[in-house]
Amino acid sequence: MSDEREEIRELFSAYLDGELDAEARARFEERVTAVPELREELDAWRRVDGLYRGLAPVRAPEELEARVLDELRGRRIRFRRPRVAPVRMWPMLAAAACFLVVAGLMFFQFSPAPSRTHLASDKAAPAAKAEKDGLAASEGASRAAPGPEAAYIVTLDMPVREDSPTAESPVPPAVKEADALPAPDADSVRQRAGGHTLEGAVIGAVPERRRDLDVIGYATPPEPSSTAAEPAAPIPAPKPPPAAAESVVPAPPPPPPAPQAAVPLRIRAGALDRAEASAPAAKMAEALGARGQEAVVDAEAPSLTAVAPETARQVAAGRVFGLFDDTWRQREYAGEPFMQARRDTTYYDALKREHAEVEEIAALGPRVLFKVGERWYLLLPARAQ
Amino acid sequence: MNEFGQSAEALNDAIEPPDAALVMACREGDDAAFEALMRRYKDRVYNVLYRFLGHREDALDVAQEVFLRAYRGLPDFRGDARVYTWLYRIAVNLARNRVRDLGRKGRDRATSLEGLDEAAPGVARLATADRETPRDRAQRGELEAALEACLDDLPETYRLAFVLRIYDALSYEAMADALECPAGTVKSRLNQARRLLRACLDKHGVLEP
Repeated sequence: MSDEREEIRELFSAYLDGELDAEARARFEERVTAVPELREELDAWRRVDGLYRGLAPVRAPEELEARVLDELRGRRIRFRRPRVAPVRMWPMLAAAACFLVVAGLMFFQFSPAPSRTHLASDKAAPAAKAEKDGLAASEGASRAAPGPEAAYIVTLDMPVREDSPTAESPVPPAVKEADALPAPDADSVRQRAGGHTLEGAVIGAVPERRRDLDVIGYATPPEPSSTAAEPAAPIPAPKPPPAAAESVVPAPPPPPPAPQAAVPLRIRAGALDRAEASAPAAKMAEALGARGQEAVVDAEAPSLTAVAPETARQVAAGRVFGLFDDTWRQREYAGEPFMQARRDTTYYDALKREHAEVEEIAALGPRVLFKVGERWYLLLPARAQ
Repeated sequence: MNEFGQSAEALNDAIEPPDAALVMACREGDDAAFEALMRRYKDRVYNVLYRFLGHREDALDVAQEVFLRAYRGLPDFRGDARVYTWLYRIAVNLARNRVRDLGRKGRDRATSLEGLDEAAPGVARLATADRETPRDRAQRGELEAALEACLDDLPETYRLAFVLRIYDALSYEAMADALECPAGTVKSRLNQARRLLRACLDKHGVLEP
């Protein structure tokens, strides 16, 4: 009898918690009803549950949410790719591209070669310097760019391999994996592939998720006077050495190129390993070129061909903002990663509490890219309900 | 139904957008989606932690770490578990670590009514305490103290199971997932927890019919 009672007791919790099926439940109730001692015991268990359930729910303190969000911001934890960043980078990078393209057209002549890649690190410095010196993107675009055909912006879509470099990737991981990728103005590369000359720079990546890597580049179509039959040649230095004089003929400033249709490009590399992905952009391009990666014209690429002009300028909270497309952008922005903040979130509320100037900056418009403290934020409109 | 009026099993399907959509949006970089996810579960997670740890600061610290880890872990969350059981799994492990780190069994909360009232928000009060006389309050304080003392006396594994069941109405299956043990073990732990609580509360004289 005691064994049977113990067997029934073993089912007390399952019964109270509704974990018995109908048949087992009926059998249980029948057996318990027949034994007053068990019935009383079951009632006592039920009262135990009732007493504990009678305690009012404890709600999380308000500060929990704020603490989590502050911590996320403070640690810059990100696992996303900053998808908006390339768009916001157009004007500035295009300005640098225009600068290089115009300079190149003025002094040099080169021929296209679909299968080869060349670096022009000598060209990187002026571009970076131009940006650092405050060469305003819009100013650069409006002054230097003869038209949208002079420079194209491409998105290089480069999934990163998890494995180490193999024989297929002859470029060794010369650059030690870094915690963060280089700033975009630190490296600028010129890569000739698919008949287009590319300028590329890493604009953002997530240290913890190197698979997501954004690279932005800008391309110029083949120089009109060149022919496909000519071999590929490195982009000559500003003062070409005699050895290069045979293939690259210094010429007087060529006539402005005929307007051409904008060509969005997308490079599907898919061959960068972690170390390469962490490398400066120049190294990345070198790795790509060494294994013959091709740039392909991608007609379905996002509309990245237009260089957004600055249409207005305003000062807020002591900062100068330019209006590019629909976004007010603090003019010092140079492609740093940023956090997005929607206006209807506590994240944004916390940001306002932390930085009094955010409210004034936010009044500029629905989309504002700005820096407070040491970080950049993209303020977005409230989510549509 | 749990104390917040939510059916634990149906919660995901009842609220829009569903957890899966929020997780997806988080992975796409939508900070607001993560906030929504946190808002959805913060009370439940905190409540369970508070009942288990018995100390609001500890519960707050652990809850914060739960959501930070969840944020970092979202890209690897494969969706083969419900979000809340996944969160509880994180919470359970962190709470156990916290108990071990502190070298104590659990709670050291203030049990005086004054202390409870001053510590609001986020501190327990009996649901029936609306218009109380001083005597009622004193009795409520004694009862609450007894309930807490008995819960404190439970072994950690029993306490966890009891708290998850009573305060979040998790099914045995979900509890097994959160506690990383078989459902049969969950049932056994709950039986032991109730048996011990019954004996303890009897001793305190609070179980008279």
